[in-house]
Amino acid sequence: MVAAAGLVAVERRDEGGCPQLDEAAGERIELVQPNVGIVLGDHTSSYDGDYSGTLYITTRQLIWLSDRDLHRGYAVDFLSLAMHAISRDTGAYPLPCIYTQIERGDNDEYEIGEDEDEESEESEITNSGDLSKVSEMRLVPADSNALESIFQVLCACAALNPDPEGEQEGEGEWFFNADEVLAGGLTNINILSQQETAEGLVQDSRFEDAEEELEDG
Amino acid sequence: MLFFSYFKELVGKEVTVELKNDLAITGILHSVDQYLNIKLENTRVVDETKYPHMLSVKNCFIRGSVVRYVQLPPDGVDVEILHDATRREARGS
Repeated sequence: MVAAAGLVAVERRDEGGCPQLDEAAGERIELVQPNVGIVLGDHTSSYDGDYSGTLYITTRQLIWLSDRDLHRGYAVDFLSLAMHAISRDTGAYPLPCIYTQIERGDNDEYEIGEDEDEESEESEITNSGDLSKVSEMRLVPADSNALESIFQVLCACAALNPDPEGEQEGEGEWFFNADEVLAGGLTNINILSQQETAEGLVQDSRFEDAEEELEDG
Repeated sequence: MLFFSYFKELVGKEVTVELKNDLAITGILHSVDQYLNIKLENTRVVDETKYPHMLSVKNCFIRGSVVRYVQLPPDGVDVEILHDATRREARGS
């Protein structure tokens, strides 16, 4: 999953009730926090005190799975997680929580990477309404002492997921030059070469989309 | 890399980060990484009437790719040094 998919539904989990990870790509769980509630969108007044979910933070995404409904869950990849913060002022929101902003799926910048292999995911979005339009999400742990550790793990994992280099094109590419790659050492070279592969795919699909849009219009 | 080096110098100073979704947040720059992910502390939202729910946020992590502008404190900018660094970067040396 190279593209920033925004918020997606998670309707399947493994036999142990845990999220299915892309272990082949090295995805692993960094934090599990039980008894976490979730509030999507800006419906801060409709919070129903539902703590019955479990938050999983992996090296690639943030996943919340309901404890009550085994087919209910949500995930946001780190490429889509624009901002996260600790919110403690109960005047603005009744409970201390992790506040997040999600890049919408309809953002032009993030549409370029959608590829046709992810049909199952697209149908899930359709089934669960307008998840791709959700731009705010609150995670409310029953134990508010956990906020700081959740925040720190989110920071660390977000840093593991830089954008594919192609998205910087036209505004930032000039400071990703060859000298910088060399100066950055072997680790960075590995990361960059992976990104270049991804960039190629992204650009291909973007051009296809552009042509289709022109023909349709 | 210039921006990364430069922003590191601004740690501890107050900056305003404007996101691509128009939200602008002022706060003390806590840290910045090579992807220009930015951590702010003691934050406040510039346009509070438009984003009242953001008032409760006192520290935040902003993904580098969603940042549109970073407004710098005037006293944190040494224009001469920045000019030189920018020229050197442009020459690729």
